[in-house]
Amino acid sequence: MPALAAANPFGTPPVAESPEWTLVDRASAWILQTQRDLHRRLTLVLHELDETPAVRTAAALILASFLYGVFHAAGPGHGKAVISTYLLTHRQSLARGIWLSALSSLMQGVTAIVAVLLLIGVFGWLARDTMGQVRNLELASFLLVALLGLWLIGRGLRSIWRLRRDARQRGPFPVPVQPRAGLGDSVSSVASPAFLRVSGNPPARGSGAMLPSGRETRDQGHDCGCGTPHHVNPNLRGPWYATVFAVGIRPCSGAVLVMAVSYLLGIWLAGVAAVLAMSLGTAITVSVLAILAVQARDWTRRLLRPTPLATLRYAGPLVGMVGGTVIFLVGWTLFQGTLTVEPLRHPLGL
Amino acid sequence: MSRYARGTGRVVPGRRPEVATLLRVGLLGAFLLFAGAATAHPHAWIDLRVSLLFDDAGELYALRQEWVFDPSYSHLLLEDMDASEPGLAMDTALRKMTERMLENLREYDYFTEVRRNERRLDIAEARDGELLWQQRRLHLHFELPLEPMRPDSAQPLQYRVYDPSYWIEVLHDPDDVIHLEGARDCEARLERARPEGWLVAYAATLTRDQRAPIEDLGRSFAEAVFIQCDER
Repeated sequence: MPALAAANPFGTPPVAESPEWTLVDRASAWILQTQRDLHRRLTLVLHELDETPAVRTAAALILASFLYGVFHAAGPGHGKAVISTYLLTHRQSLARGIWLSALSSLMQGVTAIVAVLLLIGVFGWLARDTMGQVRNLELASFLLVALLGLWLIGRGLRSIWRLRRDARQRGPFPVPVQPRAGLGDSVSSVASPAFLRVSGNPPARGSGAMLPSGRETRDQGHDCGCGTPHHVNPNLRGPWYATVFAVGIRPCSGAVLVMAVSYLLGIWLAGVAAVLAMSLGTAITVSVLAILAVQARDWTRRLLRPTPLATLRYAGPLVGMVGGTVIFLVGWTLFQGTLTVEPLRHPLGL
Repeated sequence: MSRYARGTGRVVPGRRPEVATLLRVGLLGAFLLFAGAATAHPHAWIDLRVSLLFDDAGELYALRQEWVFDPSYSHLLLEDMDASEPGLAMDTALRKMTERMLENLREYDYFTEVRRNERRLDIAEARDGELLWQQRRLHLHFELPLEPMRPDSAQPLQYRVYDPSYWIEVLHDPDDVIHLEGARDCEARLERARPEGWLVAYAATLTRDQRAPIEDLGRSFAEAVFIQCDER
């Protein structure tokens, strides 16, 4: 003891790390540390840029923001939960899934930039009040998410109703080439060929030649309901835009903070660049998640194809309704939670 | 628009995915969902510098602290002060802020928990409060008086400094050490926090104006310092 004290006149603390750390402990410690480091680096570089403006520092800021965005991603799962649930339960192409994630992430950044420039720049608000305003955008976002969920449930119901009506009209003997909803289709697949032309979908290329009517030539002479979707427009355009909007209207408060502080320092252009880089990073992370969701959905369908589950006529719309319900619940609980929670008043001010 | 319609979500006839692949991808997905959030607690940080003051008898009598607020939070605090009382000279403004801060922190024991033999000690009113503006950051200095004691092996002392709401993260300045001023044969040992995984994830879900319903959330993320002196 005395020897140690002599060697360390200031009592430098030896840092103890307990040996019995589990894998989960290590992983969460690593996440915590990385988040901490990125947050600090971003803040310090921003102030360094204000003090000694240089191209190098600006580049460092962009890089730090980008990494921060990659790692922190789009909020604690609210946006990510909505996007992945939507993609898991509604048939979307991979490209549209990626665009969905990328655009909602970019919109979150743009919302942050616009909010700060408008409230602080135009209306002269305090940074503190501006950041408090994020709460209202959050509430709006959560409410819109809940409404999106209801909309998706409604679409599922409508699909089922149309399928039933269609089945009644067909009578007891199945019509061979009638498109039907397998696991893949969460929208009504009984659209007429005329509808297809109106909506401007070209016949899909790829395996299986298409008839002009948009039905595959694959042999389905019996009523197999085999889960192979028919190429009737499956992409939900309305809900797709609604998802981008509902998720994107909520700015991430990290972006608002960076933007507000850079405005305060008089380097708001650097703030814009930083926030955009951050959104780009977020877009990448969330896109990876979107790819996984689309893949997982495809895999599930492939796994279920030989099972009787795939023959269920209403499986597609039902899965879509489950997704809608989850999205509704996510939005509604967050809305309720945010509404009832008493805003924190920190003892140090702000 | 039409280009998205191509090959949409079609089931391509092929090999079924293997369980191992599914697992791996599932784990990656779980990580991506879990991996923190830009909105998460904490929103600011304090670099903490501590000096433990010992008297001539070798007894610990005060805990001197210096809180170095992060530059963004420092600027926001100054802007706030300037807005509530515009036109104040810097030193007057800083004096007012010191008073206000220490007054507000009194209720929270200045974010400081001191234990002796696991028993929590009362925290008296802080003295020598001072706020300085140095290198774009606010430095809050104050001293917490303690009942003089010798933290020997029978009665070791430990302290933690943390914001219970975990809005601000307080960690010892990595570029500084814990100063034991006037101490004889004493040692300070710092133990990092080991928050459980679900707590890390939970903190990541807390937004800026949200108060954690978990009492004392910040304690799970706080460093603990143990001070022990040899027998005389």
